Amino acid sequence: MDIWNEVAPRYHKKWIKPKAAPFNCTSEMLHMLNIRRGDYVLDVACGTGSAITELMKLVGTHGCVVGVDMSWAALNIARQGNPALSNLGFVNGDAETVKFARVFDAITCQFGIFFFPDAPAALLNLKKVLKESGRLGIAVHGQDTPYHTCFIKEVTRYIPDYYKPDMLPLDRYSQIESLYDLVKDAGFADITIRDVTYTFSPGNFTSYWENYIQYIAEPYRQKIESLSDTERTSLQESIRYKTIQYIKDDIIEFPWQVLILGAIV
Amino acid sequence: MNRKLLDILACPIDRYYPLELHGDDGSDSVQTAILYCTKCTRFYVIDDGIPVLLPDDLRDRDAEMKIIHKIDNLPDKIRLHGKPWSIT
Repeated sequence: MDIWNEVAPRYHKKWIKPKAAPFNCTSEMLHMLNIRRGDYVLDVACGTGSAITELMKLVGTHGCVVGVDMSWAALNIARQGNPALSNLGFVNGDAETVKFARVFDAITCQFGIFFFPDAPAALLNLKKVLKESGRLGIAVHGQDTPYHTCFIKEVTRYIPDYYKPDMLPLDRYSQIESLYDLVKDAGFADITIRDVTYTFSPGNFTSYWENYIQYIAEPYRQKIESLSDTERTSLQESIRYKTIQYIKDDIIEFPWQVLILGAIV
Repeated sequence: MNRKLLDILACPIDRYYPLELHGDDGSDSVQTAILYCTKCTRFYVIDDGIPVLLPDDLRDRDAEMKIIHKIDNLPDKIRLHGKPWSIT
């Protein structure tokens, strides 16, 4: 959690504030869930609040939105970025254990489920927080996200211990089948998954490289900085080679696949 | 956090509610305070308007103690006998 607390301000500035491409899925997911006036919605792994503003508009003054996240630092950014309203709250809680005195009409979880150490346990707990016929919405990155894979595949080749060996693969729910099975096994029904591809341009390669390095968490940045100048240049060139297929007129345009799931208890 | 929203909170250990509120200033917006579960006797901090409702193994004792020390006159049931640790 220390990593997420540290990276939260940069994450917000880079992705959430400008509403970068993959976060266009918020509207899609909320439309799928038919979020309406008066709904009580729990936004799990809400982070710095990417879905909160849209949710508040949809539920109106008679509804309520509660954002839950493990990171207090991320929640604090979300809190500061939204008006202090009597129907908006934030809770520093864990998806596997969080409980409430009432049930919600819908639960949303955008780009969070793959961070949960035990996602099946988290879904079983969250199911208890949903009312009968309550709706669940999940968005995950798909397999085709070269913004990350161009970088990570090469970095892990140069730095084999870049990630801790016990770290769960972040792409374990990035295929329709694995995401579907996760939600079905937790007892949800009427599962539909939309496969959407957005386009994200990080600018030219230099801009992509510099922004990526700036964005990653401190322990990972230190590992890259520990490479010799020659190794770092070689790594940079390997990544550049990977991105060539996405470059048009010196500008990179990455596809960004997102899976958006809707289900009912 | 708006006082009204405290009504929907529950203890993450036993789902007991309502949680007792201690140490707040009585205004509509609760900024720094303690929530107390009368069933399992655990206390939880509200830090800058954000309730920290984590299970014991995920709690940051040092960070929470800094918040707790800002609050005066906590009852003995929390200060001396509250879980998951002694405040004294």
